[in-house]
Amino acid sequence: MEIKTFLKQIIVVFLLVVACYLLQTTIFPHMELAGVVPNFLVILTTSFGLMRGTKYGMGVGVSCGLLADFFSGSYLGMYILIYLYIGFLSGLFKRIFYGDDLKLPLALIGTCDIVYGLIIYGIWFLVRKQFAFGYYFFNVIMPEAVYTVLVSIFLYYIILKINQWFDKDEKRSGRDLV
Amino acid sequence: MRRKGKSSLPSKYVLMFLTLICVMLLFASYATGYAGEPLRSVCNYIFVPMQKGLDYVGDIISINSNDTKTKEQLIAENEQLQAKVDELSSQITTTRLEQSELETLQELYDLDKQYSNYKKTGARVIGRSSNNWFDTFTINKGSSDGIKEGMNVIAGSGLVGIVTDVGKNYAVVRSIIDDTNNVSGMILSTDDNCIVSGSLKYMTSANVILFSGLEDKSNKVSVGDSVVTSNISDQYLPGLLIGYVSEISNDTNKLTKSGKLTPVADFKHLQDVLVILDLKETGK
Repeated sequence: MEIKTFLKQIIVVFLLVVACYLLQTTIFPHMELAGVVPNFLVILTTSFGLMRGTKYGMGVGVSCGLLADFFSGSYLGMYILIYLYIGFLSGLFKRIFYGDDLKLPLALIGTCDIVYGLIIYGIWFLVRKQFAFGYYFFNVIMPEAVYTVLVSIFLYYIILKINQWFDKDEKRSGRDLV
Repeated sequence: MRRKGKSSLPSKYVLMFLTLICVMLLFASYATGYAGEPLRSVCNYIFVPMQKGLDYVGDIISINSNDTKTKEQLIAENEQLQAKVDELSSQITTTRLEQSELETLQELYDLDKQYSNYKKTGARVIGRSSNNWFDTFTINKGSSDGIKEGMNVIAGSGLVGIVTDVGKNYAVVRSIIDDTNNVSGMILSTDDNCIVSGSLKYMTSANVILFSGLEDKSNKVSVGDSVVTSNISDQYLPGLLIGYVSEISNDTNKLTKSGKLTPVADFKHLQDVLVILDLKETGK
């Protein structure tokens, strides 16, 4: 891959992360359903991991986590770690990924969001003796996963188009190189 | 990808390396309070201006429950409110008398009217926390406006939260209903201290937060009493209204009481808040 193509991809992904983060923190809190806001950052990390492999997933995950960390007001690094692993794990599914089929990505995004919820519950709630797991699961984790999957139906196609554009771009620059 | 052939570093090593960096970052920020200052300036110049604009857009398109009421409902509500206004205005007259009496007495005792003397600055909420577990939000004022970590934030008549993180022109506020937040509170009528702790569970299901450790030997505290921040708190200024007791029960140890209280601030529709620029003097 040429350095120019690589840079172009970084910029596009960065803009996408920024846009998703802004949507998640500004517009969607005004449109919450059942008291939850969908998690765009998980959609982004999972989709890129799935389409372009573990390294890409980790890269997107780290940038998403960095943003979440900056505006969370707590210690730096926690969200980076969570999103890093989400990106890596979804990257492992790349070998069974076939472009247009929507079932696998949606299932994976839903699962990742549930895993994300479980991790947060484990780190910040379970250790403070908040044992009402059933309550948190059915009132925070599940609604968030459902809303996230709903939103991802739309967002996924945008990411898919961007991915196809990346692929084409890479092929073209590869041909130029030869 | 072509380049992979040349420098193919297995991704599990990358993962291990990044994990190590994250863990180190966590320790560093825990031990030294380091919070990535150089990268933070990026946030300042990219996110804060955009959040300001976008939050305004979100505000406009949000589904407002006030718009969906019918005319009959509005008339009925108006009548109710009018009755309330009459009732309250008669109360005000009596309170005013008491107030002037209080002021004379305060002058006699040479006490400061400390609540109204705090310096405050207005700020706008421009972003919420990035997940559904925590109740933090971002405001559009930061260190360049004199905001410091630990400053108290109020809205309307009640306490909203505390500044936990400050950037150049933004600050992150953790609200008192956040599950990890504790405030040292005090029942206004009896001066008994208690701990007020936020609760995600009770806030979403019943719009209340919890208090505990209340020593009320004379059984005077009852439902409806005001809870304010106590004067022994090391983070919150004394006398800020938190909420009203809505439920109270004895603990199993028979010594203390705990229960629930309804916060006065409307956390669902927070838009403009006031930051108190005075910090609590802790003698450190």
